Amino acid sequence: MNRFIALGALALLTGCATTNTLPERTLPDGKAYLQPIHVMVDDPLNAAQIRNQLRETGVFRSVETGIGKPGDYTVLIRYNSQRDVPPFPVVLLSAATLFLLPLSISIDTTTEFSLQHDGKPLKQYSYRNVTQKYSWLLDGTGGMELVNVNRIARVFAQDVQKDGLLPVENAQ
Amino acid sequence: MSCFSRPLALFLMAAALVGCGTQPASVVSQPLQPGLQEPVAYLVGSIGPQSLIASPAPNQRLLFRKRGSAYGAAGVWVGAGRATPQDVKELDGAASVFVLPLKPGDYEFYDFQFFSSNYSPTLGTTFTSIQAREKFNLPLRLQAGKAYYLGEFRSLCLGASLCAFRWRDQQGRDEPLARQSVPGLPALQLLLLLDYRSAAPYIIAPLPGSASQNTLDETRP
Repeated sequence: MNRFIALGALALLTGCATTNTLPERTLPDGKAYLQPIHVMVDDPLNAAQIRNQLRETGVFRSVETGIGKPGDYTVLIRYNSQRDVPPFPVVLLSAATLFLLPLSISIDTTTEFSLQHDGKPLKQYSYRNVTQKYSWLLDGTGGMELVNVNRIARVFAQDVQKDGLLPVENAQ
Repeated sequence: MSCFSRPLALFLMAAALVGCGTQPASVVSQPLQPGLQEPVAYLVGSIGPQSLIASPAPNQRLLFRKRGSAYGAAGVWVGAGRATPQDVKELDGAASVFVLPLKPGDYEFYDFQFFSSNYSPTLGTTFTSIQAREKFNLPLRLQAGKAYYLGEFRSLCLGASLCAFRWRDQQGRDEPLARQSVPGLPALQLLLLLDYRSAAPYIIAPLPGSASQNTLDETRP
């Protein structure tokens, strides 16, 4: 009996962990900031959240809205996020068990970043991240979208830092 | 087995009713707290409503984070229930002085929060939280063994959702208060490099160079 409970608990705990297809990146501390970027996203509902995630990376001196003045660096983002839920009968079955039966929920996001200077494209970056999680009654989907976008923002920030296309801002 | 002693029960009830004193105005998340023998950098400031009528949220905070990480620290003012120490009291305003002991390194002052709960018989209890939709970034480079003074942030609200902090230099008033809570605090140095205008709608600061620190005027020329 005890073994069953332990096995069940283990299955629930591991099953509820969120998995991402993009790896987590650690960004180096103490480096100088990169110059400010102006970020425009084709998805107005998520634009502020994406900009905030880019701000959270701590790589860019500031992340502004709008297109910017001549000479400024601009990043255009094409953002497409799909949420996948299991087939309807499975959802019904889970509902019939008062959501004790876990449901697999995934968010599949493809993002294209176009780094531009004075309207001239410098480089294209494209990333895909699939965040997957089993969620049940006591464990909602909260935070999945944030994790999903956060991974993409960090990978983009690290790649831009590595490429050196964006100049470093002078020390404060 | 289930005997719950009467004095203990009375004590617990009394403790719950009284609301248990105060809470500190400084919150630092565990990974950013320096150890006993480790170097420390202090970040000092004060936060509170300019007027309790004009800024009714009973829980207000300034949010800082370690650059590039999810860990943060906050300067908090709480006016109801378990309140923070009301170090500054005026006719209709109040403020708490916070002293954040942090591991030295790069930090960012990036957001604020106004939190309040309201009860109405029809809707029940509703919680309201106001934060910046687009976060700002005021970088802070904190060195070991130093104490930095950020300034005084007094909140003002227009209506229910338009809130801002008015910045002023009140080092003369806040330094002794900070020293009371943390004895042996190094001499404070004012962080003047911060460009508060980049946090424009949320933080109202006088233009650099202008002597008028006590007027509440627009930041734009």
